[in-house]
Amino acid sequence: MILQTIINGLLIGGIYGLATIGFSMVWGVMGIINLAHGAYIMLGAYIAYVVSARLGIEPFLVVPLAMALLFVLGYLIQAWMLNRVLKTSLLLSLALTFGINLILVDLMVIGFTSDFQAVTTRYAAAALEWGDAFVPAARLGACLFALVLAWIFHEYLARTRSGQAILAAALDREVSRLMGINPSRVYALTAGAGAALAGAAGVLSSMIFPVSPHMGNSFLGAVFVITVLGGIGSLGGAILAGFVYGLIQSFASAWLGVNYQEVVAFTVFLLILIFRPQGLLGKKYFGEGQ
Amino acid sequence: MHTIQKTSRRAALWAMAGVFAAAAGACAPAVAAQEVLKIGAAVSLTGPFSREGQLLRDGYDLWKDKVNEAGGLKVGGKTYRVEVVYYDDESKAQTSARLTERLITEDKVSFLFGPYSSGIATATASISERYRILTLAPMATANSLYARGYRYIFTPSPLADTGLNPLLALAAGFDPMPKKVAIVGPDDLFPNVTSDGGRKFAESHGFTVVYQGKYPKAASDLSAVATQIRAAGPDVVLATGYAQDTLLLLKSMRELRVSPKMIGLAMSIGVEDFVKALGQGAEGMMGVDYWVPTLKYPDPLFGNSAGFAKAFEAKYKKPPTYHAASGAAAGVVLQLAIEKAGSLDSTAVRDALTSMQGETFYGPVKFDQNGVNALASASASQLLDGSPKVVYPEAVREAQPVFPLPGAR
Repeated sequence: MILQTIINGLLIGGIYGLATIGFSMVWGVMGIINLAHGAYIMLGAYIAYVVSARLGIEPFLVVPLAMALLFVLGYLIQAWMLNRVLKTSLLLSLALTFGINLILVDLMVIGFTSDFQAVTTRYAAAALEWGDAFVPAARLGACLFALVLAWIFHEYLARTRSGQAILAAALDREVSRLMGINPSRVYALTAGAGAALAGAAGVLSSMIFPVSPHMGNSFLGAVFVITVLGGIGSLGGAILAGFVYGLIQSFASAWLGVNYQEVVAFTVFLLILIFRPQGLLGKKYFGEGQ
Repeated sequence: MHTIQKTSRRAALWAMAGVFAAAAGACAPAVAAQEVLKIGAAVSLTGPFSREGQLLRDGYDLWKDKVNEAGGLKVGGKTYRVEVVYYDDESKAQTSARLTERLITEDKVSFLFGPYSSGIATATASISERYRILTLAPMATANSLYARGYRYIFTPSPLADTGLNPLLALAAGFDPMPKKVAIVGPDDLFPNVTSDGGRKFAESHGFTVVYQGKYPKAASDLSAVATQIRAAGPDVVLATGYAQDTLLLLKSMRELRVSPKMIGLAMSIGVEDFVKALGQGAEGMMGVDYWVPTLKYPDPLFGNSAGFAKAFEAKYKKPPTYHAASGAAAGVVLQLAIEKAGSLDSTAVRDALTSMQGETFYGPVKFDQNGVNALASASASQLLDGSPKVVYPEAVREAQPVFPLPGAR
């Protein structure tokens, strides 16, 4: 039972982590709390549903497509809308992303109705047996895939010019501009990458959760807590906090009852805010002065 | 030159408008001969209950169409064309209450059709009660709603605490009888009442309830629940939730190889989502229906259940579920009461409801003073070869139930 609880928590935690990276980066680099992030995850899930459930293509293979489409969407929304708003007030970006979220959700309601869809894989019921615990194959695959994507994104930030530009802008917006970095472009790039990762998380979660236009909203709460828990703008923090959050939920469910999983998770959230406001791996300069 | 062109174009528009007005005027007398009876309905068209809310609206709408096709509703010598004013309550109780007030005060509706779910109806009932507007709430069946002394809310459906009875009564008849029962559902009014009612019924019929669990309505992951159910090792798993969370629960159970001998839902197994989303995995699952197409009760408007099903399929191109049936039946019940009362006054129609006894395709109706239908009952269906077949009660059975589920351990 304890082993199964740990497995449940870790497997869901990997997906939570991947879902959080983009949200956390966007927040860290631009100071934008992107309320449309949940909708990006939902769009990724629908891309998986359309391509995979209707055309019969392996969901894991849909990830690159979903990432490409979501990158374009995230990039354009940032370049055309959010960059303009950033110059005025950060509060406006909350209103704007809230609106974008509503529009995306309602467009999907119109296009696909609010019915619950599912991506059912051949291995939906397959599981590895480990003592009396089970490791569901789809969840394990999704979790590992999420970690690989997170690692690739880490390498991108660390080794490429544009990745370094994103990190530089996160460090200090003004100085990065003095170094010849075009902030508008970097912001759009960050938003695009964030949306792409959200899209990937959406594809992976479509194999586990029912797909509906409203699914993003239940993610957003978790993503928010994990961002603060891990440290705003920290990639490693998001992944680590994803696992921690998954385990907290899992153990809270097992010991106190499933009803308490969110109470406990948000209690931890408050404690983090009080005792370690920069989060587990957050550095003070991420998001400073924003 | 420019202005002249503009003026002439405007003149042409006015002329066209005139033609339309004249045409409309020509038709007007025919329409005006019939007065309009307005009924209000705030139902969930978006949000977690959108699936069920839309089905319910389909039922209300079908009744309205059918009545209007038949020439309208006759009230004391006058004929009324029925119109239903819909609002989307977004699956939120506060929104539904606000919209209910708007329906009564601004749209001036004469009667109300209830929302989907008991939780939401609890909020709207206090509004309709205050304005003394009669509400037919076929999909709000929590016992508490009808135990508050409210006089203007009625449901033709069986109450929530009896929701699992058909499944348990069926299970009690299997040989060997499955002993251990797990009951699980979201922490919400209807599921909780159903769960507690099911527990009582189970214990009084020789079952042992080895697990009774609740999870948050908006839970994103239910693998913990599935883990706990597996640890309890039940023969029968009964789920009291709504479409979305039940789907998530069933997926999690399958992933963690929770394979009891019987899986039953307090809701209809005929909801398309289940079959579509779970595929082969849904085979053999059971559900409870407030209505099934094989019921034989006569109906003044639709003829019988087959007639209702046919009318529904003609309009919506899909087979009806009990949600829609309950909606249409609520309309028929209201119609019977209005015709009996010969008035559109809520209090007069209310008195007619409490003193009448009748039948609709949905089943017999006889209301007590609290708005509860004393003659209501439910049936159980099982998914066999991908389509739901009635398995309980035996009088309307379409197929022999499969028990235990293949692959049960």
